[in-house]
Amino acid sequence: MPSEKLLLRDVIGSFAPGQAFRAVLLLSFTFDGVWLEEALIPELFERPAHTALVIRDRNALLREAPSVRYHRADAKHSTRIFHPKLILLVAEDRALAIIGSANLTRGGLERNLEMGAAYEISEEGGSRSVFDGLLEYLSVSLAREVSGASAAALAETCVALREVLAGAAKERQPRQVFLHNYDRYLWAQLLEKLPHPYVTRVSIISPFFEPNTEKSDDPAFTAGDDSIFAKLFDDLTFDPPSGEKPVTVYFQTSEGNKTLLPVDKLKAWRDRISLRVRSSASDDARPLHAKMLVIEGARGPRRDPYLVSLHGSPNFTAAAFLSRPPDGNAEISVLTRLPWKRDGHAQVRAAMRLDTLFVEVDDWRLLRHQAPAPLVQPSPDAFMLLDVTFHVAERRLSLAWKATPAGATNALVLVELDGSWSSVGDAPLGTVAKAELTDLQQLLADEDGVLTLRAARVRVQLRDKQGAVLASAEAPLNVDCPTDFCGLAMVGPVMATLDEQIAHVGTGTPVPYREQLKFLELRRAEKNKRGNKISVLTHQADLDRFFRNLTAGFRGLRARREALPESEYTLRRNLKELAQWCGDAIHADSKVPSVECRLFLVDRIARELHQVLEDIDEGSRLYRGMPSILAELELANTVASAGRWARSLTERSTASYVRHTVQRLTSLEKQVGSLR
Amino acid sequence: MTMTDRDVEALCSRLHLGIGHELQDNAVAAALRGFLVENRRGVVLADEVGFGKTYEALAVASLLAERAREARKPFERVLILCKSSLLEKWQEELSPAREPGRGFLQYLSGEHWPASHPFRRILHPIAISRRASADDKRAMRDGGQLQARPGIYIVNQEVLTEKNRIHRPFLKRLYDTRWDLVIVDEAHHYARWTKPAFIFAPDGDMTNYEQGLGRGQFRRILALTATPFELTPREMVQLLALVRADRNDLQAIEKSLDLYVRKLEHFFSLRQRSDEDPLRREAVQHLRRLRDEDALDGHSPGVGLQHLLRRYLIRNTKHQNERRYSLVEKCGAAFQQRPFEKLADLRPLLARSPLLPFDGADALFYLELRELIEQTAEQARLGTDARTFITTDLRQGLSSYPQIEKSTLLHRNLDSARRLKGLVRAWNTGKRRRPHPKVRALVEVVATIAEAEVQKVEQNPGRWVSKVLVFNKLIAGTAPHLRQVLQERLDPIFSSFLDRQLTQRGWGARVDVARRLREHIRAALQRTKDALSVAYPGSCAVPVDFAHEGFARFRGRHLVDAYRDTILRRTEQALFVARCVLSVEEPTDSHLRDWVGEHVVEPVKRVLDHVIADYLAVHESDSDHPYEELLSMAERECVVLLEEQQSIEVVGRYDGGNSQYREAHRRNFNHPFNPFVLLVSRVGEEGIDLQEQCRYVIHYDLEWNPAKMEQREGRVDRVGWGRADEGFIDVRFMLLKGTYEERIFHAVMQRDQWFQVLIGSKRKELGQVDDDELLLVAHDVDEGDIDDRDDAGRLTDEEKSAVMIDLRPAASRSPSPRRGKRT
Repeated sequence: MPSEKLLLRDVIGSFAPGQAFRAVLLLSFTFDGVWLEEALIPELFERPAHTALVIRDRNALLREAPSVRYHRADAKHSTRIFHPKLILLVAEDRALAIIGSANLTRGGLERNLEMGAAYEISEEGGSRSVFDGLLEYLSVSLAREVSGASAAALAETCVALREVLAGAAKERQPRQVFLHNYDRYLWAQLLEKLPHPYVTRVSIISPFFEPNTEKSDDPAFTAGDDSIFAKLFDDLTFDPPSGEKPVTVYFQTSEGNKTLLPVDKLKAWRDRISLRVRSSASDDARPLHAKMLVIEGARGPRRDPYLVSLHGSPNFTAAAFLSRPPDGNAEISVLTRLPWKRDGHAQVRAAMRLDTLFVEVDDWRLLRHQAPAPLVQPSPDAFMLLDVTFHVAERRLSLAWKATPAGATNALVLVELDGSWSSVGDAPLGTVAKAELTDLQQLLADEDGVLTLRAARVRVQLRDKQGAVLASAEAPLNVDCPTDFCGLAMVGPVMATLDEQIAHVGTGTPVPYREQLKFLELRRAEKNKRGNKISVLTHQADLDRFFRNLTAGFRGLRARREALPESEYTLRRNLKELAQWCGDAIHADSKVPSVECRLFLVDRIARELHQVLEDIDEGSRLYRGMPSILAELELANTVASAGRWARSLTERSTASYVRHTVQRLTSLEKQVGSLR
Repeated sequence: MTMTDRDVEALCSRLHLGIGHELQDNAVAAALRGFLVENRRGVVLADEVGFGKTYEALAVASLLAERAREARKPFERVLILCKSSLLEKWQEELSPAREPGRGFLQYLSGEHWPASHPFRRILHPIAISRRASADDKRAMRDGGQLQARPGIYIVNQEVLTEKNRIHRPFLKRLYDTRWDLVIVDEAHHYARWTKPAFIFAPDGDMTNYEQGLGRGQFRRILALTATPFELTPREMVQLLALVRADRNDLQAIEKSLDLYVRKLEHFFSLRQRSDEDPLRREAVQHLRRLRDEDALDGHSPGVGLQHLLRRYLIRNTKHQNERRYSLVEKCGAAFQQRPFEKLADLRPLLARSPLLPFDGADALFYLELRELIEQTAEQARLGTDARTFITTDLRQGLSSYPQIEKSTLLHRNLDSARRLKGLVRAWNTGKRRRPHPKVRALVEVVATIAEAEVQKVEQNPGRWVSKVLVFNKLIAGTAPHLRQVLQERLDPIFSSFLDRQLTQRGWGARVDVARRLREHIRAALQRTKDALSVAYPGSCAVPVDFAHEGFARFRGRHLVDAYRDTILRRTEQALFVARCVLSVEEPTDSHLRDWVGEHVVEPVKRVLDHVIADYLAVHESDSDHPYEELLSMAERECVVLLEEQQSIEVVGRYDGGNSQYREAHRRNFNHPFNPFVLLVSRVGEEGIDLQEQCRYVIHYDLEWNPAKMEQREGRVDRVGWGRADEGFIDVRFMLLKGTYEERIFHAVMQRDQWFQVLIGSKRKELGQVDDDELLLVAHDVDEGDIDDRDDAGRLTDEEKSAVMIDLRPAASRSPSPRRGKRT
């Protein structure tokens, strides 16, 4: 029953205590990154979160997040409105999905009257049907919205969720159905799910009915929305108890009784519609943002009464119910079959306190419809940035986009510094819609040894030979190692050396986000106090600890593999982590005490990688999936560069050791090659 | 009848352990007070290493016998339990002395100890080793049951097992005998539940006093140990149960020790705070209260922990020799020392110190070694292999590369083993030799000491070089290597020292001096030979029964011949010749002849004369001893002499790998010539004396057990330390940075701190408090310019005096312990 009041922090905190988040996926229309960073992110990253991805609407960005701790992606497929609202947390043996009306904004999570439901699944049971639908949605439909690193993160989320579902209990009588509109209109799917079209009552709760420019955090759409009311009366046959109006619309007004509700158009059904407006006198003054539809089926010959609800992202608009991506809205919702009772509908209304929050509108004439300005939508074929990723180890920025305008010769990358856009680099264009930048002085700052990005968002201008701007687009800037970052500061390697990081990952106890924040704060405070440069943690030169950290880390990885030998997720993570460390180890400024320690680490990683690959049974499902995994992780490249690094070592006293390591890496390279 | 303190004093006046041994006398008196005044069944003599607990115990036994004689009660059976290696020592102490001023019997002289004294009558110690044959005749019926005959039995504690007792009736008899006194040597082994503890507590409960040896019916027990606990303070409770402490006391001590240790830890955790800090002060006050006033924190008013412990524990602590501790650390290419105090907070110090860096290729070695050990341990866990001596393997790697190359670890069929072997082989052989960082450091540290010592002698020819003792637990593979590299480094230092002396004094070339010395030695030996032949015609030949291989070539020839070659070889030693050069005014023949005669040949002559006169020339009918016994005593002394006369190189070894010659090396280390350095393995950590010429103790590695570290240092820091005029014993630790050793060090030091506080091992701190003058000095120091940084983490003198427990016996004439303190 989606009536429980949810405190998001409690839900997150009490979910899968003691387990890491394998994946965190957040979907939102509007997005306020600054607020999120303060309110939700520390909570979310209080425990290890391996993959974290936010997908939002590119045109509804309130404030970009001052953080690269998680991937941010602008939906690329839904060019009109990307409207889903979802919080998905996947732990090792369970998953939690909150599907509702709240965006990732202060309004959504604090101030508005929102509605959502939390679904959990594990081997003990749960809403299997919702998660099955959700997984299908993520892996097929939502996958169209992202590319590059974000697509990889989404794929990882799917793998993690699939594994939870593989171990989850089956549902005997599914009561919920997950719906999305990528393939078919929601309205059609809704009608299909109803046992019959004879209805007694319908309650419609919606904050938006018409385009609304005053409310920047919800969709705007073009005229014609009355059609959804028309469809309502056309497609359903109403059989209300005598003297009762079958349809009740719960809505809100703004100052001066202005409303988005198309009152004039509704007059045609005045005898069948009852209007209830958000009461300004109620004790709860929050503005309405919840969306819900409750339909009560009528008893009749050869038909039973029923009660269903639909909640999620769709407002009661044609754009939500009668369009689909890419040209229409992208929506998700859950249809719930409620147990029918004689006064069931009334109970739902009571439970949601609709009678106290809303009051009947007696005189419709007092309401004034307010039409918003039409929405300016960029053309779906316009130049669009698909992926902007900063590769930390190589200090390299890679860009991918679509729709290069004719005549463009170079891409100028800008970031917003001190209120104005400054260039951080310029890359000549080739034949593909990709570019790379390496000299990034403007983008990076060194705050006393902590590598810090100066922005989390870039603007790319494609210019012609003369320097005229042909196209311009903005996109979030992501990094290839988000877990090392706190906000924009790469605090991971400063707070922990590589061996410590390995131990943290292995034992599943990385430094919590709050600790990182505190650390950064302290450093800033120290700096201000002393006014001099603070030394950054250098390696404690404790060989034994270095070794123990590595051992703890590798042992942790191995234990996980042994515990979950069939798990693709675990295999991926293992390989990904090893590859990442291998890359870090050979990198000159990695926090490893000496070349010899790095050599040992590389060798040790090579042994581990060899073992991981060796342990995969030929012919197993995992074995068949290896080519794509290896390609995705670019393992061959990592191993090859480790080999090149090892060959470059010339110290004579360790020559025999180096020779072995080189041999090991060469054979590992072959092993990877054969699996690909 | 219970005696008074005055009675005990009177009793004690009949036996003194000699001038300079008043502290030992105090301990004896305190033990007797415990037995005779306070009626306790047992006492622990817990003097620090090297105090002569053996003598104290024998004095207590003698005086108990004397007391029994006075009271006309029997005192006839004494059992001494010790480990096998100490059987001989006990036996030697109770036998007629080879040289004047040695052996315990010297004290049993004068009017109080006539030959007819009952104690003298039982003074024919019977040693029971593993090989002792069953001898039922030695049993007799006494007090209604079969007992061992009256006597002093020195028994290897390992043989009194239940299994042995079944098969050997004599042992059963020993076990059932009601002893008048049981002396347990190295009693800490009993406190730690090693096998011998079951002699007293077959059911595993030491507090059950009605079982075990003589069904617990022995009259008195004296436990000897320098380390009343080794790993945890609770071992002391066990030790007190061994000496049959009152059960109520035992309980109170157990609880209050726990409490004290907890509070001590709390106090230690505050060491980094200012000594003015209220929390720190409060912690100190609390400890002082527990110690002096109320051991159980509110439940035992008036009785402090110190008082409880003093009822059973007597501990003399040394005060004359100061030890100074330092860490060896690398500074550029050189090595320097960083001094530290044992009671200070050592963590920050260690964190700051570079110690001996284990970096570069060596770091790779260390990591791969750890990996190999890890894999081996993993195999052990999986059951494919049983080997899990992780620290042992690590130690080998931290000792030297030749050591690890010999290790079986490297021959395992593991990838890491092969790779390590590759690395180590390349470093041990061929062109790119690479000594272990610790070996490199040791060589430089010892060379620096040698240079300083040489300089000292050059500036003051009346003095002589102080030697260096290097402790390394596992040394078999390292010793030859260390010996070689040390020798290569030290030989030139001493040779050039000698050359300088020869040049300065106009003695000519070294070869010529050596040749002349050889001639004089030959002549002096010939004279000795002739004199002995005249004095003891027909008795001077090496008996054919001498089994020692050193005499194999000389059987039937004159005894002196057996020593000639080895004495002559000494002339090749730079130190030997230098000693001569510095001792002799002019290089004239007469001077040389006198020096050789007095310093080289005379000691040989003295011993041989005694051996021939007392053993070889004695007719069996004139002696109490059978011929075989005389012969074996003769051989033993001849072997000792042979060992003493052995010519050693500049670096000696005392370890299992050199068991044949190690005694020779040890004995020569106590003499002025070679060896200058003695490498000692765990074999030599206990029981041997090395104090005569040595001043430097280097811990090449660490023991987990602080008591063992103390034992190591106790080899030098003992009564009769020969370098007392040089101020302090210089103890250095060699730790490899960032390795397992750092962890061991922390663990050892923490235990050591308990040790020092709870049983008052640090004499200097104990001595100071009551002395007003010293308090003033401390006050002055406090007001001086103190470098805060260096002072952080240290205990102030005041704090030390407030928390350390003093178990020293009161001086005989004044029962109050506080007035008995020495300054």
